[in-house]
This record gives sequence, structure tokens and C-alpha cells, in this order.
Amino acid sequence: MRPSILLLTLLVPGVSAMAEEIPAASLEPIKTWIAQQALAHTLSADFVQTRRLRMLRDPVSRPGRFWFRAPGSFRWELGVPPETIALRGKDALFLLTTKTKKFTRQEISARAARGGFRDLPGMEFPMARDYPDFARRFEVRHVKVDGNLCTANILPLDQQARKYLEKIEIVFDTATGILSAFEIAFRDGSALRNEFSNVRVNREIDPATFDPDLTGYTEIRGKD
Amino acid sequence: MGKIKVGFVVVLVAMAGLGLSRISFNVDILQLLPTHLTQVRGLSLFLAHFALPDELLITIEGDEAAAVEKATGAIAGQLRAQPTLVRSVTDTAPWDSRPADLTELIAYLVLNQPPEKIAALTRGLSPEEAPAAARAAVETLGESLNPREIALLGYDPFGLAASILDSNVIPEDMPSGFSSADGLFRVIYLEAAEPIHNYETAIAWIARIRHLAGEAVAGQPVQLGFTGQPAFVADISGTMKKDMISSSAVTLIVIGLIFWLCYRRVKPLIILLAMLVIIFLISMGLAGLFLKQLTIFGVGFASIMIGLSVDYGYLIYQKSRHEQGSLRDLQRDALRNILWTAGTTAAAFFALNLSSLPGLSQLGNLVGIGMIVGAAVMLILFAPLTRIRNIPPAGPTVIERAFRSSAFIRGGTWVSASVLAALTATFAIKGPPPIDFSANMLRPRQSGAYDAMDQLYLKIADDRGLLSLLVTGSNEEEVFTRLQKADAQLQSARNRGELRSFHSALPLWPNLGNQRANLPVLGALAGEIPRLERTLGESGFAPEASGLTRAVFEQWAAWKNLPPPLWPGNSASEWILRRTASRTGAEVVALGVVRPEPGRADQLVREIQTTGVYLVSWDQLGAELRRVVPDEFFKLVGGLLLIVIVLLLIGFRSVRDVGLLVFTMALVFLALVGAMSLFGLSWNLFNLAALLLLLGTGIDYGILMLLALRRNGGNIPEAQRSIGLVIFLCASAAAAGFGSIGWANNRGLASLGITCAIGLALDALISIFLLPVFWRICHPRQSAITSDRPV
Repeated sequence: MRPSILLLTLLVPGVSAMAEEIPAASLEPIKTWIAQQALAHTLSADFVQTRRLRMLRDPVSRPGRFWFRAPGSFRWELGVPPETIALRGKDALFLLTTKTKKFTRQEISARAARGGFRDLPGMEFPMARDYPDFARRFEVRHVKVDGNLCTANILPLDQQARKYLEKIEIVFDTATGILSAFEIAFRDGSALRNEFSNVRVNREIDPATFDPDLTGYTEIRGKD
Repeated sequence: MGKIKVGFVVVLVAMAGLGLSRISFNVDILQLLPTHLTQVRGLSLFLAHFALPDELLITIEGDEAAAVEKATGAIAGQLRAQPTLVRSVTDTAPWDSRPADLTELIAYLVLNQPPEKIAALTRGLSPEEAPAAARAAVETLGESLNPREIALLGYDPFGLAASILDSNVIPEDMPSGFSSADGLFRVIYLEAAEPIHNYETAIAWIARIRHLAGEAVAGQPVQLGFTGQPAFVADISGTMKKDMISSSAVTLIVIGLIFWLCYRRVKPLIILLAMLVIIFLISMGLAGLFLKQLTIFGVGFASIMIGLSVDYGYLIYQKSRHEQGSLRDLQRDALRNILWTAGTTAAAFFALNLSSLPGLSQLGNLVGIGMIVGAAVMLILFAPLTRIRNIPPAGPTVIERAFRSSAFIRGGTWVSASVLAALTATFAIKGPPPIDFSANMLRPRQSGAYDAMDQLYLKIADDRGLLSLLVTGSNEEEVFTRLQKADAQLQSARNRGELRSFHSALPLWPNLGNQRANLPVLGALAGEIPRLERTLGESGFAPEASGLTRAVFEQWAAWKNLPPPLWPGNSASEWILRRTASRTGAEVVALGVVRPEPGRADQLVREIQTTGVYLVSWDQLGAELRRVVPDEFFKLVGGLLLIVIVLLLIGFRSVRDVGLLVFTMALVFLALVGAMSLFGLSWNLFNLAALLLLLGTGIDYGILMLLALRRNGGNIPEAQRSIGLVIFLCASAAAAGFGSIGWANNRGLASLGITCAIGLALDALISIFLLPVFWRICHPRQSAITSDRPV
């Protein structure tokens, strides 16, 4: 009964649906995509994030940028210029709010020990080390291939996450493995969608991208 | 005479019936332990306030999350359709199905906040600041990458819940209690439709639930477990009953076999067994008059008592075969021996009252009463029956002939000396048996309820190394004050690196001062709802966005005129608070958890525990028992030894003979520890009592042998012939009695039975075969005279 989960359950009631059986053959695009992700040592992309929240009358859209470096460093910037930054370096995950100059820091080891889904789903990259790792953490509910584009609906196996997630949709190019869209749908009807563009794979990225510049920032303790 | 006998039997049956009808089984293992120990008191408080007597937990485990979820739903559905059997079935957190119920808890937690925080909150809701707060919330919802913030802010745009989340009211690592993270293990909580008053009701109710649950998941790939208080009661009481019946039956069978081997007479055997049943019924009837509940240890009394009181029957029967005098002569002669042996044995068992272990005291009282009843029944009822005409006089049996054979005695002496030497060598090589005072000894060897609870802890709520923090008081305010003090101490201990984390009940406990100060302010906010709803709408929020704010404000308004302390009372709040606060009876109890750094638990317990504050765990209980009980026991054994020595000195009037008895007992104890080392047995809380019982029971064999040696002027072969068989019979029966509880389901009781059985067997060997040899060494002149006599 973590605070976030406790309150998320307050917000997103619903009942879980039983998974349909997916034929083994239709899992092939996902297996290929996971394998292709493993070949990406660096990645950067632009994106537009659209949030359709049940409690807001109108959707909210923000542009942003994303960088990744294997094995697990990433940087998400939301807003141009960035309003919030999520950055995972070697040991910790940082969440920075540029407007208020505040940040939170969480040790990666402590997060791993607590388990479960603690970030916005989809923030993690790559989604899994390999297919068995993916199969341990996600249930594939639906796969559709249309030309070069594959759309897959998946759901985490983590029971707490399933309480508030309706589905996660990933859209990728079956030939290149490049992700073109990612959507998280919550049980209360809210959804968050990232549309990617300008994706560059295995290009040089400045290592400083993954070091947080905390000059002038104040740390907030005791929050997720 | 006939009328008197019939009257006696009627009174007997009535007493037994009354006693038996009053007695029920008490499965609370803490009732076996010294009540003055802080850990026992703390754990008893925990069980009394937080172990729900009518709540059964069904665990469902499988290899596929979907299958486990489906099975859980099927069982819950099946049981919900049985309102006469089950009052409530909870398979998901109550707020999952009625999330709005949580608003009451949020209202309560905000009400407990310091007035300064409430002042800041109400400022943010004022007409001047509310519009900016609503606009900022919309902006944050668009740009935040924090999932909690995104999820929460839409429903709580004015940040009412945020104020309580920052104060860590609900620990992050608190498990859900319904499912493991992987979904392969789930739990359903059931409440019985009617209160479960006794073990028979519990057994019947659980059998019905088990059947229905099994039916609901027939053919599905899941395993079910049943645990919780009714399951423990059903499990342990069921095995207690079985242990009592089976050990008594086995003891009777062994006694019968031994008697048959020795005497080959059917009628005396039947009469003897009937006497034992009578002794059991009278003892039980008497016990039932002052005892309401039989503990796990009391269960062992029947077989021990039968095994010991049959000794008097053997003695009387053996004497009746050789004495030609009147019945009165037989009774007088037997009385002398029985007075000594029954006196010391009953004294040893009654001496268990001096121990602080109530379980052992009960066992001691039951067996002590049984001993006295046994001696009386055998002397008054059995002795005359041995004289009835249709019991033909018999010639010597195989065993009697063996005891008359000098080759058998020589062989026995060599075997006894070899056994003693081998066990002494084992003791010298392997050292003393280990000491195990862990709580494991209190547990049954086999219990589905314990297995399911272990699995639940393993999968959902790992409690290894955790200490429970119990804070008690006569009212909420007293508990609050103690909680504040304990919290500060725990905080300091964390700063010193003595503990990893702690979650006390303080953040959830009603703060009377804050409630009194905040209620007028918060209670008035309901009037602001229309204005705040307009503000939200103007900022871009949907109409539902004010739902939480409205519900919380309305709750404050409902509480406005009630006197503090205020508690939330709906089902969701009760579910959260049921493991945190208890307000039953005159006592108010708060529960929290503390996770100490490895190796620091003892120190932490010493620092934190004070009046009304307990820091307890089963491991700490073991540590405290280990600190307190052995010392107390050795003092008790020392005291009893001193009393026995004084009594023996008065009776024997010979320092040499008493010294010989003490030396014999020392050898018995030496051989016993050697045997325990050899068989891998350990000393624990309960088999330590074997020292006391051996001292009281085992010394009888030495006394009988010494009396025989004195009576016949030191004629060793004659003494071994006349009394050796009786000692053999007594020891076999007593060892059978104790040995039969060796497979009792309770580990402690079983270990007591095994230790006593081994000790008595060794005692008999040493008393029959070696004591006469030592006697000869101590009395060279007398033995020189007797050795000239013809055998």
C-alpha cells in the first residue's frame, strides 16, 4: 500500500480484464523489436507528448527531446525550453523542475530493491534486456501489423501497476525497430501519448547529457 | 458395600462428566510461558488486540497470475453466496471497489495536521490564492514527469492529500496484503457469520469453508492454504485431541503388553487397565473442577499419569503374588513403598508450580493429582481385587525367571556399565547438547495453518528481523504521548545507525490538540465549495475534478460538532487501521513496526521498552527466555534436590546411602546428556523440566533398590530378584507414558516426552544393575557377610 498506489487506486477504479491468448507467431515482431533495441547503443529523438487527462477539459501537448545511452542512461526533457527533466545516470534517477529550480533524487539500487513500477511507464529504455526479460514483466494482449508498422498492446504483469493501467500501446517500424509512438492508457480514461520523430540511432552523444547540472537547484526529499 | 461401590461409581462418572464437559483446549502458546516476561506480555497484547478470532485467511498460489486471479474470484464468489457461513469476503482492498471511501481517511489525516499547516492550506483556498493554485495545477499536469503528481493532482487540485503524503503517513514499503507483486500468490480474508466460541465450532466451520473453496476451484492449477486464528485453533486443537487420545491409548497398550509378558494373566490385566481408566476419569474430573482450559502441555498429562500410576498397580500385584498375609498386610506393606515413591513423584510434579511456566505448572498439577488418585485407587480398589479367588496363583514368568538368573544379572550389569561408558564418552567427545530457546519449540511440527502463514509472510509481508512496536494506554491521549516519546527515541536510534526504518502508529493516531484546533477552521470550509468549483472550471478542470475536495470538506463539516478524539469509521479506514489501532475493552493499543540493523535488536529493545511500550518479536521472546528461564530452572532443581536430600537423610539416616542415591542420579544425568548428544537432541524451554521430573520420578528406582538391600540385609542378588522386576515394570510403563508423547505434534511437549523416556530407561538400568555394585563398594563389610549367604 504505497502512497502513490493507494491514491492512484482512488483515482482509477476498474476491474481487470482477462488476457486473450496470443498466437506464438504474432509475437515475432515484438521479439524482433526487442532484439533490435538491444543493438541500440545510443539513441536520440524529438517527441510530442499529449496528455488527455480525465480531470482536464482539454488535452495538453508539449514537445520534448529524449536521449539514451546503453546500458541504462537516459534523459527526457519535456517542453522546449525544458520545463521538466527526468535523467538517469549511473547511480540515481533525478527529476528536475526548471521553473521552481527543485529536484528529487532516488538511488537506483533503492528503487530496484522496492520493485514494482515507480516511473511513468515508457520512461524506461530499453523496455527489456531481451525477450525473456520482457515476457517476465509484460503480458502481450494484442499485436497488429500494418505494412511496416506494428502496433502492440501490452500490460505490465506487476499487480499494482495493473490496478491503474488499462493498456500500453507501442507502435514501431518492423524493419528498423524504431519506435514511432508510445501511449499509456489509464483505467480512469486518461491517456498519455508520445509521438516520436527525428530518431537517430547509434550516433555520438555528449556524455554530459546524462550528468545532471544541479547548479542553483534545491533538493526535495521524501517524494517519489 | 455394594451400594457404596455403586454410589462411588456414580459420583465418579458424574465428576468425570462435569470435569470433562468444562475442559476445552487452549491453543495460545504464550499461555505456556512466564507471564512476567515483557516479551510474553507484549506478544500476548499483540494477539489479544490484532489477531482477529473470527477471521480466516485463504491463500491461493499457482504458476500463472491469470489462473490465480480467476481462482481467487471463484472462491470469493462461492463464499459470498453463503451468508449463513460467512459475514464478509474481502479479496481486494476495500478502496479498490469503493475508492470514494478513502476520502474519509484523507479528511481525518489532514485534521490531525499541525494548525500552521492547516493555516497554509486554507490560505491556498482563499479567493485571492485559489485561482493561481488551480492554474498552477493545470500547468503541472501538463509538464510533470512524476507519475504520482500527475495521477493525484487531477483529482486533488488544491493539494489536500499532498500534505499528508509528505509526512509519510502510509509507509511506502507496506505490502498490499492481497497479492504478491507477481500475482502468483493471493489472499482472501473471510469473517465468520457467527463468532467462533470453541475449537469444535472452528473445526466444523473451516471444514465447510475448505470444502466450498475446493469445490470452487476444482480442476484449476492452484494450491489453497488456510490460516488465521480460526485455522490455528482448528489445527492445533484437533492435533491436541488426537495426541491425547493416541498417547493414552499407546501407553495403555504398552502397559498391557508388559504386564502380559511378565505375568501372562488376562483377568488381572483387564482389572489393572480398568483401574487406570478410573484413575484417568477421577483425575480429569477433579482437574476440570478448577481448570477450564487444557493447554498444549496439559494434553501430555494423561499418558504420563497412566504410565506412572500403573507402577503402584505393578507393585501391589507383584507383592500379592508372593505375600500370603491378609489384605491389610498387603496394603500396609505396599503403602510403605507407595508413600515414598508417590510422595517424591507427586512432589516433583507439584514442584513444577514453582517454575514460571504456566504450561508446565498445569502439567505438574494434573500429573500430581493423578499420582495421588492413582495411589489411592490402587491401594483401595486394586489391592482387594488381586485377592479374589478366580485369579489363580502363577508360577514364575520368563521375565521373573530372567531376574532370578545370575547370568542375566551379570549380563545386565555389563550392558549397563557399557552403555554408561559409551554415553559418557559421547558426552566427552561431542560435548553437551545444544540449547534451543527459539520460538520454534512452541510450534506444532505439522500445521497447515502455520505453513500457510509462513508462505504468506514469504510472498507478501516479509517479517524477518522485524520488531512489533506496541504502545498501550488507558485512552488515546495517553497512547499519543507515549507514541511521541517512542517516536523520538526511534528517530535517535535511527540517527545512531541502530535501525533501518520504523513505522509507528503516530501519523495515524488522533492528535487531540490538533483536532480541537483544526475542526472549527476545516468544518467551515464546506461553505466554500461552490466558489472553489467555479475556480476550477475557469482554470480548465472538468467538473469531476472537485469530487475529492467536496467529499473531504463535507466530512469535516460532519465532524464539526463531535468531540475529539475523532476516528474514521468506514470500511476502508477500518481496514487500514485494524493493524494499527485497537480500542477493545479498557485498553487502547497502537501497533507499529521497527526494522533494526542486524545484531542491534537486543540493544534497541532495552532502550525503547518502558511502561506501556513494548518492542517484541518471536526471536526476542526466545532471547528473553534463554536469559531468564535456565537460571530459574537450575535454582528450582537445586532447591528440589536439597529438599529430596533432606527427606532422604531423615528417612534413611545414612549419609552414605543418600550419597549413593545422589551419585546414582548424577550418573543418570551424565548418561542422559550423553544420549541427547548422541541422538542430536537439544535442551529447550520444556525438556529442561525433565531434570525436575527425573529427580522426582527416577530417584524412586534407587530408593526401591536401597530399601530392598536394607530389608534383606544387603543381599544383592535377592534385592535384584525381588525389586528388579518391579523397577523394570515401573520404568517400562513410565517410559511408555512419556515416550508416547514423543510424537505429539507440539515440539516442546514431544521433546519433554523423549527426554524423560530416555532418562527413565537409563535410570532403571543404573538403579537395577549398577547401584547394587556401588552399594557393595560403599558397604564392604556388609556385602562380605551377605556374599557368604546361599542364594
